[in-house]
Amino acid sequence: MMISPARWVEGLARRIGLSAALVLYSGLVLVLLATISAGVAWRIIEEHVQAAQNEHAHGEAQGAVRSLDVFLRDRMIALTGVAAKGDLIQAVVQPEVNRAWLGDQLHAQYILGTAPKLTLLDFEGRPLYTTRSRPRFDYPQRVWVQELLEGRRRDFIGASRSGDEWYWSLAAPILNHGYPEGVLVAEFPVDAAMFQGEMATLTESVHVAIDYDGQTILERGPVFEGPTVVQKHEALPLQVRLTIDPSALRMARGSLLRGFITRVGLAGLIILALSSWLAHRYLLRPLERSAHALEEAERHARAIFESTSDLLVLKDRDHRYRAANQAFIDFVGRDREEVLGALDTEILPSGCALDQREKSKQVLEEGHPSTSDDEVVDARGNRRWMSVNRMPVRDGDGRVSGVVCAYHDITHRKLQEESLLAAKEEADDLNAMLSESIEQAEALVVEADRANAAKSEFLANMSHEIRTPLNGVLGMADLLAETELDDQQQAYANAIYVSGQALLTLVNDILDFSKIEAGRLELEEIDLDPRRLVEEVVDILGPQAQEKSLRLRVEICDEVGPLYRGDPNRVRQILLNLTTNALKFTESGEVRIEMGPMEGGAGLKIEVTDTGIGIPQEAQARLFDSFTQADSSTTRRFGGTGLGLAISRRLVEAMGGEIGVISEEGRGSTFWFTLPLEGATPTENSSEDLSLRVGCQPAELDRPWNLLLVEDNPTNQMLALALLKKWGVEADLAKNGQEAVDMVQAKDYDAVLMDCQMPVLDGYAATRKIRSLGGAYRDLPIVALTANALAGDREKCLATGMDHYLAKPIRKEALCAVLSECLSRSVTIS
Amino acid sequence: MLAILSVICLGLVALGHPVRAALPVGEGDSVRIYVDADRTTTLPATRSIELGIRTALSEVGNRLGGRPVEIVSLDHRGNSGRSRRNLERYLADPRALVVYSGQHSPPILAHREWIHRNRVLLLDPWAAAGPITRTHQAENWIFRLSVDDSKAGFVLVDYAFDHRGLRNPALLLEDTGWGHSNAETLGRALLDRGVEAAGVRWFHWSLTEESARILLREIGATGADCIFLVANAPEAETIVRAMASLDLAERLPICSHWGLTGGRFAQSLPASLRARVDLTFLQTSYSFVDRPDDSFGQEVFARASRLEPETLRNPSDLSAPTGFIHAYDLTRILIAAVEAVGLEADMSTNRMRVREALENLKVPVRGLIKTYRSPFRPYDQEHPDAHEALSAEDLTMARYAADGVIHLEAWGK
Repeated sequence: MMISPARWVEGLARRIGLSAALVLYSGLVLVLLATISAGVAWRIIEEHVQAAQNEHAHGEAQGAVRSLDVFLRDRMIALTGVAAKGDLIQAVVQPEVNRAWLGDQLHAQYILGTAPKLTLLDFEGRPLYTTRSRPRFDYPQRVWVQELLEGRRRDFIGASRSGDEWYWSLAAPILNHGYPEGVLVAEFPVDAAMFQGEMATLTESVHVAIDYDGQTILERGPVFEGPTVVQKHEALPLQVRLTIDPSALRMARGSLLRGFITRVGLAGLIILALSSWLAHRYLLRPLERSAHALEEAERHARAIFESTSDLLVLKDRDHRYRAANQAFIDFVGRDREEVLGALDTEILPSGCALDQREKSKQVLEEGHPSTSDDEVVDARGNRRWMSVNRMPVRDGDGRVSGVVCAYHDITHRKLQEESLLAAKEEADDLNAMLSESIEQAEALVVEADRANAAKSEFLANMSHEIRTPLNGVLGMADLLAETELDDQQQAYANAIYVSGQALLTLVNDILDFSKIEAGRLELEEIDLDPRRLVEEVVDILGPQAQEKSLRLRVEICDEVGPLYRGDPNRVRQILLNLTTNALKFTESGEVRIEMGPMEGGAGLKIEVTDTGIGIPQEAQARLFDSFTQADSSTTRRFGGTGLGLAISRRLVEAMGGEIGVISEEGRGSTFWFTLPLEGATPTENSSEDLSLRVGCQPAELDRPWNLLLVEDNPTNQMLALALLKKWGVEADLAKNGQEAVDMVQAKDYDAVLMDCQMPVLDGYAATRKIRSLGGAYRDLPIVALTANALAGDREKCLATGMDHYLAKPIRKEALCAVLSECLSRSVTIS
Repeated sequence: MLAILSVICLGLVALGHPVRAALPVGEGDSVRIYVDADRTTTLPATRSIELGIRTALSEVGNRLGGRPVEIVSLDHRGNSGRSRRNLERYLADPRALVVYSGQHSPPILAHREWIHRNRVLLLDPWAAAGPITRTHQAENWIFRLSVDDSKAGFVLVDYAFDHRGLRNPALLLEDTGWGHSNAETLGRALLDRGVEAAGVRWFHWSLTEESARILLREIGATGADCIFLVANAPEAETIVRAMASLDLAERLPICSHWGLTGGRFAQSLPASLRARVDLTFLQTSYSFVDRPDDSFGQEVFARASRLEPETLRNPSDLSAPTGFIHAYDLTRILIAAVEAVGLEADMSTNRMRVREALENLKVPVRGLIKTYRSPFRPYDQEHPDAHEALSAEDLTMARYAADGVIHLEAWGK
């Protein structure tokens, strides 16, 4: 009886278990593999052993020729040395001298440890003396002897037979003053002596023969039938033949193969054990588990299938029922056996059966689920409304193989539908109203935001408006102070001035703060020299520190770069704020400005440390809030708006940095801030040509200067005025272009330093207005001061009618150079 | 002049030359004079000898006994065996009358008994070994006009002791028959003065400078105050080089046998090097350079320079002059001897007759060194100097000048 292999394996697996079958299968595969490998290995080993043996034989033969060559050359060199001995030369040219003496000379000659047979030939090749027992007399007939005597050859190496013995014959000429007068012949027995070194390792399984001029002069080892390697000497008619015992080859091959099979077998067993374990662990066990899980899943599916009161059926592509739950069986009132395999038409009443079949067909063809509310008749003839869900069933390839139909009884729901529809319309109306309300609320928020901005705008404008009359008040107070006043009046005028000044500071701060609040803070992105910045702050605040006998110290870390990109005016403002505060709250000791690189990124960290009153812990948190000082009493003691730190915080944050304070009450405070800034490479900008004229000092000039500074930024005002003051130059201040136009008409100035970006009237417009006044105003030197260090700005300034151009931050040397030039010109026009 | 064929055979090997059968020689046939000398290491001496022979022959129209003369020059390279082959060739030549030897004594010493037995008429213008002219055999066939070592030793000792005031000489000699015969003579000469040599050292040919230095230091260690040197030019050159390389304190005066004048000694060693060594050597007492007033000598030189117009203009151009002087004087004696007896057809008879004529020459023969009256006499052991044309009185010492020319020492002997 024939059994198919697949069936047989299946049967076996069933009998002995899947695991065991797998092991058996792996074992069989391994045995097959090992057998094939052994067969292949046999061939490979045979080739390799053959090749190795050949290579070995070649190597040995080469070695033999080499050692033979060395053996002969060494002796030739030694013999040449002996032939050069004076007494042998004399013996050849004066053969008449005592023969016994010559004999002793020759007998005493050892060449490399052996005493060869030496024969001394005269100028005609006849033996003069020999240490041989029987002299040879055929030398004069030898061609090589004549060649040696005629100087045509410097040495000779050959082999010759004497009786049964073979000898190496080596010969060197005896030279007297370079001329051959005789020959010294040495004979070494051809024996094992030359097989020292490599050839000493030859085994029993090798046969070596040395041929000279076609004759075998030495043989060693047993004779074999086998492949022979021949190595010729490159110069002499000498060759070495080497034959390797083929049985050695067979033995080597056999032992290699045994070794191979043993190792492969062992490795195979290990692999078998390992793979069996792995297969059991990672293949069979999960397989068994998944089979079990499958059965369980089937049971669960069946339970779920039966758990619902809905009718569930599965139909195949032929519309035959393949599965149906008990609810369906009960609904149609048939036996399960009747249902399974039947068509719709055989189970359902004909009307609805055709309808169901049509809808199922659609799902089967299109592959999309469908839902419909259908009227179906049950076994008792009752008509029921059913909501029918039809889901396509797909096989492993994704093809639709059937359809599941779920019938949910909605007869009851159908009756309620009418009233539900009416309720839904009402709800839709409500929703529409709600949306409208939300839109209104959002509009209100936008309105509020705008209002807030408007408030800040208003505040900013108000501050500006307040500033104008306040400047008037201050100006008047100033003028008043210069009139003749008694002490009391003088004190009142001072009070007006000081109060006005305080009010102006407050207004400026509010203006600044409200600008920030109103989102009108614009940060510049220009070159920023950190060292110059600190220098400027020290320039401004130095006198203030001196007044209070405080030390103002600066420490700048070497790692701080030469130049960064940022807004130097704003940074200076922050630093001025912090330093002014520090000076303000310190009675004795020092204020220290430290600058270093920002930790964890490119940028700066600046610290201002004082030895002042310090700040209590609880006050530190709200220190940077608007209108806050550490203590409300502080305002009374030290003055100030309390806006400085808030503005500083806004500015630092706007630049992406952080600000903070470390303080101990009574010991002092350290205010610090960080600025993430990009480093920049210093480049020469367009104002550099003027700065070249370093060394000129405006103070050298014969009369005091009369300058007008037009600048809106209070810090820049302070800075420029401080600079000019340092050189002993007083300057009037105009806070915008319009003021400048008014002031140049009221007083004669030597020069005007004009900022470009200003409120009310900017620098360009102001310059045009001044120039349009005509007369001397056309030649009034106007120097542009601008933070816009961009290409084209210079041209724009000059085109407007300005005479010079200085980029901010103002550099002392550049300003100095420009002013010197302006002055020399203004002298000529006045 | 044109009749003369001067065949210079630079025979590197004498092999292969067919031995000529003794042919009857007619009156018009040439007479051959053989020169068997070292034309390799002592070529200047050999050429000087040949020039002396040719100069003397030119005075008689290059004819001997009315027959034209051919000179056959053979090279034995200092090898005794090769010299034997050359002499055999001379014997086999039916036209060969005499053979002149060269500078080396060993080849003659090696074969002298054979020479006498085979009646080789050998004229020696240079080789100085004492035994050369002495024999136990009935007939002595070797005639010498040169230094005789049996007298040379005495001359060296007289010079060193009486003229230089040296007292403790060491001997440095080549390990050959020549060297040994000199060692013996020098020993005897010293013994006469009751002195023993401070040391005796031997060397082989082809000596190296290092070996020479070792020998010189060994001699220095013996406390010697001078060295009597017996060497040919190549070895003498090496020894003088070695001596020059020593520190001044180690250097000793060298009183040398004349063997060193046979090669290119003066040309090989620069004057600056020679100046570092106090070197005097034996010479026969005639010099073209030192005797410009001698009209006979000037005439001889003029004749010689006509033979070699390219290379020989001044007396100082003549290297190894003693070879020339001796060969010239010896050839004039030979000419006188041939004139006395004439020549027959059979050359072996001629050799016998000329030998006898040499021993019994009655006419005085004018030479450069002196006028010879009976220069040779019949030899027997009672008269060991019978075949010596010169005596101790004809010997003196000389030095090389910076230009390489030999000047005789002004030595009142």
